[in-house]
Amino acid sequence: MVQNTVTAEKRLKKLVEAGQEANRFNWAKEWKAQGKKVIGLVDTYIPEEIIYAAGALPWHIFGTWRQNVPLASVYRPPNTCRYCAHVLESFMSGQLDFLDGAVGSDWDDDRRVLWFQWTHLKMMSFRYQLHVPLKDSDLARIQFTANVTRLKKGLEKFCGVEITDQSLADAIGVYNKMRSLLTRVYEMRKRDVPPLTGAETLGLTTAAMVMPKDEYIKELEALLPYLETRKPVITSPHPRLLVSADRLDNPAYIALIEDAGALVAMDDMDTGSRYFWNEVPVNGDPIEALSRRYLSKLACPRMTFWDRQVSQVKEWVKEWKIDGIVNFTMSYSYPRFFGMPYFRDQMETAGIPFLTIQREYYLGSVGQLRTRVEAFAETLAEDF
Amino acid sequence: MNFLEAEVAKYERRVKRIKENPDPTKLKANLLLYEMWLSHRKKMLKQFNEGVPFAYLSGGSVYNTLFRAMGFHTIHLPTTADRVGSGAAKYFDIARQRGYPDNTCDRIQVYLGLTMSGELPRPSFVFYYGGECLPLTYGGRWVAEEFKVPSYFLDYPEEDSGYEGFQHVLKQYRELISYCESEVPGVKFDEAKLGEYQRKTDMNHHLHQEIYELKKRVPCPISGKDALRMPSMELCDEPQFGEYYKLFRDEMREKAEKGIGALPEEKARVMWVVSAPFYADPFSFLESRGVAVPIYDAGVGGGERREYVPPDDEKKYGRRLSPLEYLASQTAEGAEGRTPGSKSERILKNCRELHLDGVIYFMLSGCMPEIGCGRIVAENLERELGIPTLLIDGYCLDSAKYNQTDFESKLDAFVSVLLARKGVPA
Amino acid sequence: MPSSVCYLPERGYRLSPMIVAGVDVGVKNVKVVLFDDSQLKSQLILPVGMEPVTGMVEKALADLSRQANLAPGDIQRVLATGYGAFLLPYPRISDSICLARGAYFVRSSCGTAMDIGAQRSMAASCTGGVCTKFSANGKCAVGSGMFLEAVANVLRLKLEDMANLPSQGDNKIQVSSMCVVFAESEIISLVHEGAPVADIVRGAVNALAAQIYPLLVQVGMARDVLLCGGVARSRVLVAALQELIGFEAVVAEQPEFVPAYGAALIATERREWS
Repeated sequence: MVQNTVTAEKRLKKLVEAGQEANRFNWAKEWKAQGKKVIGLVDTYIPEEIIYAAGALPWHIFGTWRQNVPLASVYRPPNTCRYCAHVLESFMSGQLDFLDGAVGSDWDDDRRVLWFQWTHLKMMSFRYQLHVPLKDSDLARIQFTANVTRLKKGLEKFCGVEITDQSLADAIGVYNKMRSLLTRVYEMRKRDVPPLTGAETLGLTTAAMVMPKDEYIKELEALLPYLETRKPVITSPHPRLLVSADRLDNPAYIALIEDAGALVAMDDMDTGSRYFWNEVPVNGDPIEALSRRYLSKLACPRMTFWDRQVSQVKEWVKEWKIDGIVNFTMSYSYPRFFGMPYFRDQMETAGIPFLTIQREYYLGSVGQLRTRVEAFAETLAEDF
Repeated sequence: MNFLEAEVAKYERRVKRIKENPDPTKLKANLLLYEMWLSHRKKMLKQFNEGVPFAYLSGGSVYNTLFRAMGFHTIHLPTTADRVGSGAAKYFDIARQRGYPDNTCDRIQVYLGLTMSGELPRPSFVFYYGGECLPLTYGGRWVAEEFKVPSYFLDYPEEDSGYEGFQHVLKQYRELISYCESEVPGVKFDEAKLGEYQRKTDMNHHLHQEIYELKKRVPCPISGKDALRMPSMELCDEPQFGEYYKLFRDEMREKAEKGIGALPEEKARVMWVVSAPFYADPFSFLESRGVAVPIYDAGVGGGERREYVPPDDEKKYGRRLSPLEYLASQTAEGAEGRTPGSKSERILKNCRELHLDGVIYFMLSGCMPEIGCGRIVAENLERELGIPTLLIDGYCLDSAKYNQTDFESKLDAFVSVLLARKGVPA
Repeated sequence: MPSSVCYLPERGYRLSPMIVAGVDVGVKNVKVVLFDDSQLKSQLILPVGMEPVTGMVEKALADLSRQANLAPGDIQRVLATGYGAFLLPYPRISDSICLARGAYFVRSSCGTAMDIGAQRSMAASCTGGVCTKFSANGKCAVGSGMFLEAVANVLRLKLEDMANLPSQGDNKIQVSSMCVVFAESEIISLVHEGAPVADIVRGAVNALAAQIYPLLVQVGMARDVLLCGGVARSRVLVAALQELIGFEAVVAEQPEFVPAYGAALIATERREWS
């Protein structure tokens, strides 16, 4: 049993650390060594299954976690989206030279500019910008389906393959499998003592974003029985917090909160729950099914239906027995900033303690963050 | 005094001053412009006092025509914010106290504060779209939430989506009209009226093109401040709307024919891009150093009124488009104009055609679509035309953050470089 | 391309020998230099204080004249530059032009001059002593000497001691480059955690270098790169910057005075002041 535990812990550690800057490129480089293509993504609204069906590896781009971005600063002033600045730094420093192409989306001013910078700097041979609507009305869904169809054609041309309905259906099957496995992991987080800390969980979800899905599924499936019985060292099982953030890919942020005296039992993050929640329907036209799922999945603050995001969070607060919410806004990333007063007011009306902290993309201002979270956790702990 | 009362007072003062003591160095057309604004604001104030419902438009001044054709009165929020002038501070405070990001575009902060101040007519509908920038989109979303009124978000089509994109926009317009008619009492779409507005603005596009041609003349007959002075589409109902452009063009033409420039000695000419500190006068500063500013490009929101292209419906669609279809086709084509690449091309084209010596690119804080492109535009201009670009940080409405010495010293340094490159003594 | 009205001696625009002064009014210091027939005779640096700048400069000119065995009336021309130049009654010329000319005087092979001052950092392309491009930091204090002052204050070090503190560590300590206020609080946390002071300084300096580097790239970074301004005396900063630019940069011998040299030489060389 001890031997199995040791092996399982090693496998888990490998998964949880997959997204670290020292490791995240490994799988993509191995993929390339097999003569296959790697397509980078800067948005979780891009239907990855199409890239998978084209035989390429869909690989989410995390920016460099180094604090200084001197190369990117030539093109990106300091008062612009920090995620995009760190991504550009990663590109310009050569970290991402292995990418054959990237698919961006134009919903966001900074991503539109990032795409323009890729073009100007002649990066990658394949650059595609998908238009993702900010609403999911019937008309928007029809249009998004047309946009996704165009993306499919673009990928077919670049990868030199035909993406058939069958290959899409197979890809959807694989991704839905990943989604169901992660859903099971998240269900376990409802326990008083979950099998994973919040930091470990973020490590697990971000691993899915940089690993080939088949390999990821194999690893996670093998680990699930172990996770059912795992007892991690959780110093403070209370208060239980939900972290709401965008482009938060560094588990050290979550670890910081947990070290400050709390447990991150649930999240509302595009690198966490929002990445895998909602499966793709398996009946009907696969492109339409993908478009429907991606546009109407769990709401991100960028979408114009703020009320849905808030309702979802309120439900999770009940189901995961959450004591308070930490809302991370990121410097110069506007959707969350604009939505914050609404989010805050709704949480206050619902009687859910709510703390907003502005963060950098990289792990910075650690002392300040720790102090604020400690104070928040202490006020919540007084109720116990 | 609320915002509308302050506006009426402001334009009354200006009209009176010009009538009593006209400045021969300034454009005669200015009087007409101020009279239009005065008339428009007086109507708005009357409507405000009578409780008439309005539509708030967060971006896209062309939508004034669509909403007026439905019977709404309109307030175009960003350009309304631009007119706040030195009174901006209190609106910043209102927005920031409410928790809005204080590092987003000034115009949005001010318009949020303005809407929450109670000094504007209450909206019965809010329109916002994805055609310009995120702050405009989310600002509109917020205002709709704040006032708990029906709202509509227009999704812009994907670039190069052709007929499909056009259809997507058209269907949304029909959906929007149907929604407005069902939600807001008294609203009914009159397509013929939309057609009338379009004819007026198309005619103005002709005049814009003529004005643009006149800017090529050396010395430039237009001053920097006047280059900024194109009336908002909010004034499209004013009878003199078309007359203004004619007068403006005639005055410019007269000066051009007589060889009269906006400054005594034009040593260089530049384009001003994105926005400007509206509480200061950098154009006069440049002009005092012999640098003309014939053209102002507001960036992603719309260049120096893109060249007028006559509608060629028959060729493109096989038939003449209805006014609503025409609006949809303009919107769909405008989707390309909003991309950084097309903006860079436009700036290059203007610099080439107007024989410009440099560009002053105002890095408006909080304006991501613009400040992210500045460096690339600068590199493209250097490479293609061999002309320099000054990237200069600033705020368009937040005068509390303005350091005149620092700002002007950078402009001064740029002028020195500009003139040195041209071989002209400073 | 450089102007054809180039004011360099070898282009034949040099006027008859003159005694001139250049004054650079910065945020923290005023630098005054005296030239005679394009030769540097004397120079002074004075901290900006409560005294009006005009009086301070007049007195400085008198002192410099005495040092050079001249009378104040012998000075034929004074040209001013810098942030506070508008306060003086002398003709003004922009700092980027003076920086380029002064850099050429100090080192004729200079292709790029980088002036790192108390409040402003500016890079200027200066091949042949002519500025054809410049780039300055925005509002952010992190890109200037004020940032290092704030760091020194928090660490209770003298600036000059901090400037030469060698880092023994692995260069992994990071200090926020986005805001002086955040940086201060980060440094306090690092001190409490026991991080070596030298390593903290290096982290802060790396942040400053990361702000300066883009300015150099934006003007083309042609060699030689000459570092000017008081902050260039910091060996730690020079090392950090060199790591980023990938080659050696030269520190001007009297780095604070370079723009003032430029102002004085332009006063000698340009016709429009005759």
